[in-house]
Amino acid sequence: MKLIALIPFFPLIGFVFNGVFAKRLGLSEKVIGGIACLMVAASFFCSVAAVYEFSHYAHDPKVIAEAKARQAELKAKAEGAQKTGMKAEAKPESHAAKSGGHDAKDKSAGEHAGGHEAVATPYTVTLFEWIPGGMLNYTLGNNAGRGGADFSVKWAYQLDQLSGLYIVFITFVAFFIHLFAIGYMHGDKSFPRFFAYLNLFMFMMLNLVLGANFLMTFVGWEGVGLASYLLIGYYLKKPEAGQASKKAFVMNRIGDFGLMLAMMAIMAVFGTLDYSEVMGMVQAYPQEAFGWASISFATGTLTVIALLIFLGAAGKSAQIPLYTWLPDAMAGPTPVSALIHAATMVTAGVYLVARCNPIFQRSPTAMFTVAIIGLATAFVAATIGITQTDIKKALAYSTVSQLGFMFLGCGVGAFVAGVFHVVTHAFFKAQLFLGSGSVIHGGSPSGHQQEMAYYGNFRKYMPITFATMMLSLLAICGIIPFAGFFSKDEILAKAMHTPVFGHETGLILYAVGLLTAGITAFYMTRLMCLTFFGKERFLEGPDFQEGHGHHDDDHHAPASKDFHPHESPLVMTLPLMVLGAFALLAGFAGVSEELTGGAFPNYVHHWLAPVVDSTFYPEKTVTAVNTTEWILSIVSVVWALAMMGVAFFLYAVKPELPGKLAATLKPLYTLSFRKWFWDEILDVYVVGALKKLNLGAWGVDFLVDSVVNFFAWLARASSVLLRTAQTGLMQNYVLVMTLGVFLLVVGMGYTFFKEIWTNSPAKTVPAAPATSRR
Amino acid sequence: MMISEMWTPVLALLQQEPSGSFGQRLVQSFSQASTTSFLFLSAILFTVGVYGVLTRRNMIVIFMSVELMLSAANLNFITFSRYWQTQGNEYAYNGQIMTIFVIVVAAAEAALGLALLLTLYRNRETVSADEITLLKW
Repeated sequence: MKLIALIPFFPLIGFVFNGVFAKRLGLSEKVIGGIACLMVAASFFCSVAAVYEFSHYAHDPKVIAEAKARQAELKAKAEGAQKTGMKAEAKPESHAAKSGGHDAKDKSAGEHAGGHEAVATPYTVTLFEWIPGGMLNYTLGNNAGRGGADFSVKWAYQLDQLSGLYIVFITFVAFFIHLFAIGYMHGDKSFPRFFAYLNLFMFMMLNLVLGANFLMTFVGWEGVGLASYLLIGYYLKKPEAGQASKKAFVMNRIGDFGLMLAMMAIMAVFGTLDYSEVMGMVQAYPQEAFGWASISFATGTLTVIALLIFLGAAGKSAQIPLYTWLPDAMAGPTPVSALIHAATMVTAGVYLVARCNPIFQRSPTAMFTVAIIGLATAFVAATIGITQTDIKKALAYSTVSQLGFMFLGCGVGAFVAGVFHVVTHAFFKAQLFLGSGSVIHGGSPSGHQQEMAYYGNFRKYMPITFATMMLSLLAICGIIPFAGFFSKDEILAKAMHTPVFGHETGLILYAVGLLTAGITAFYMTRLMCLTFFGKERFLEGPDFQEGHGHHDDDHHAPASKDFHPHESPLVMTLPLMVLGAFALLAGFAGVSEELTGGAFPNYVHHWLAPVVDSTFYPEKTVTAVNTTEWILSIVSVVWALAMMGVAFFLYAVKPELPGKLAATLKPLYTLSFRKWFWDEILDVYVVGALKKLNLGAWGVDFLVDSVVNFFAWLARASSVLLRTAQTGLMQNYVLVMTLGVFLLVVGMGYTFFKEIWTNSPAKTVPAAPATSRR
Repeated sequence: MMISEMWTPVLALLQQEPSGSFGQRLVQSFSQASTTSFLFLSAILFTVGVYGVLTRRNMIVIFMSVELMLSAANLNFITFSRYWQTQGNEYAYNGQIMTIFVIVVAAAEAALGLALLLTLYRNRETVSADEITLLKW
């Protein structure tokens, strides 16, 4: 377990090797891909070993006792000012007065605190002290105005239940995607570059997840952003790929800005960035009031922090309003879409929210924001998904939608369900993307055809791809017993019974969520039908037309008409099968105990329980089967099946109907097809406003610049005299030097001789009678 | 007084009855010369060197002038070494050691300096000090 620091460094080795040496050594594709895979596999085995060891460590009574003592200590530290300072004494009262309706919950939380067993036992490995900051003052929060926070950021890795779960599934999924990429990228000109980037991404992602403080996570956060940028723009000759990579980078920067502000606020309040310390100290804070008033540092420090963190999460995880980069990011190679833009990087936002759940739980405002944004994103993205014609774009909107579900889970207080959905989604969505990769690869002569209009009836040609994608389809639609059912259903059920908001709010959240789940089932089935059922349309593709040009910008002769789509090689189908199997099986790790009455343990829940703060919303132990839960499940399964049936009928049985429907529902169709005009809205309102702001900023810039320039000018003018002294003539310098030495010698001689003269008896002796004479 | 003393070895050489070879007489006359006269000689050498460095344009001549200054310093060392010997000071030989040290350093410096000059000439086709004026703002 001490070796967890190694886990991120294996991919780093792969990155350096593939990035620097592979091309020069002229290695074959197999070796390059093999090295990349091997490094990720090494990380995976290390992760599994570390997590296994950690599971014992976390149950060690000594460790638990130590962790509890430390939590109490941190809590006392954060409470410090409340007991001593007069000014601070008023604070908890004002908090209590404002939190109003949550008083009762606070009390029950206090009673509960004695009995709660699950305590986070993070295991930290510090490599070196990164930023030794020294002492600083707390400026916000309970300790405001007091000094004594010893700020230092360490390059440290932290293994706990949450990061343990993440590293295992990340490295596992990533290994199979790397394997798939060997087949998919076969024949690509810059094969080593691709795998170097992929490994760089893995390094950064593991840094993000394993980092023991916010700044470490931020390094990974920016690093995956960089890797994402590089990989979206991987096809250098495709202009839209370059555009998309820039868009992704800029959109993410907005989110990162929020995260940075959040980190600064955390520093001001807690005086540290360590996760364990922050989460321990936050225990000393009561729950904040709900409403607009809490969005200020005076009344709701934690609300502000939580909202800023969520802004960062929304950028990385493609939530409204920052989601438009993710569909555009599909310009990158398909394995990249699977790895970065479906399975791992985009779930970093969920990770961060789950990681900071003690902060979020203290702010109902932030929780509500997370839930609403998540739900809105899920719904909007799902409706857009219905009309997409590009297979990867449709999947991208599906990803955005599923991410919305995860945030909905976090927002209603079901952090475990949210994280569990991350895991199951990683399996089935990665599988779907890889499946689409397989279809793109084998579906057209050029191997780049992504329009579903030129697919059709591929199940005849690609049986393995079809069968494995069916598994994932059932998983994403939420059909029992596939993985998506357990995670999505738990989120929906938790949304209904949410302890954070009232019952009515929960019901609305549930209803919209259920509707969205149905839309998901609809458009995913549509995607499958267009690709694998219906008429064979692949001969109509542009590859068969005269004079078409694709991204190589050299013109090919039209491809031969006796082309047949073909199944991909084993190196690509094996990942499909494995991930498909996990799409089928992964759900059993987190079967809701409400369904089984506790007969079948909810492993994910038990595993993650220590990470989730249970101060305000204690978990009930389930002993009996909950019939409401069963009814909800049956409703959602039936609903999903019905929508799948409708989609199948529309797109496989009567393929002429959707066109007519679209014509009848023209406004709705346009709204969906043009992605709710979100890009246009952003362009007009946000970019336009920013441009106007630019003008103002230019004025300020000019003003500030002229002040600064004046001082620069002053310095320059005053230096003219000194400057002209430098003639460049060596002998002038020597002359000055000699004169200087001369003066020095004369001066020294003067003082020396003065001493002798003043002390000489010749002068002092006659002076004596002179004084006596007076 | 001091100026007259400076010429002591020369006068001694001239005034002596010729006995022995010229070399023997030279050594003899120097052994009779006072410390002050050597210091004066050193001061003159040094001043000549400084004057050369300041006024000459040819870098090689400047270089030679620098060597003169070094010689002056060496002469000082030797003179004081000799003086302290007569006083029976146990550190008297330090001066001679320093002199040898300075000679070694000067040899190295000469080699390096000439190499620099050579390179300079190849690049600029001049060794004139007032044409090399790039070292300024």
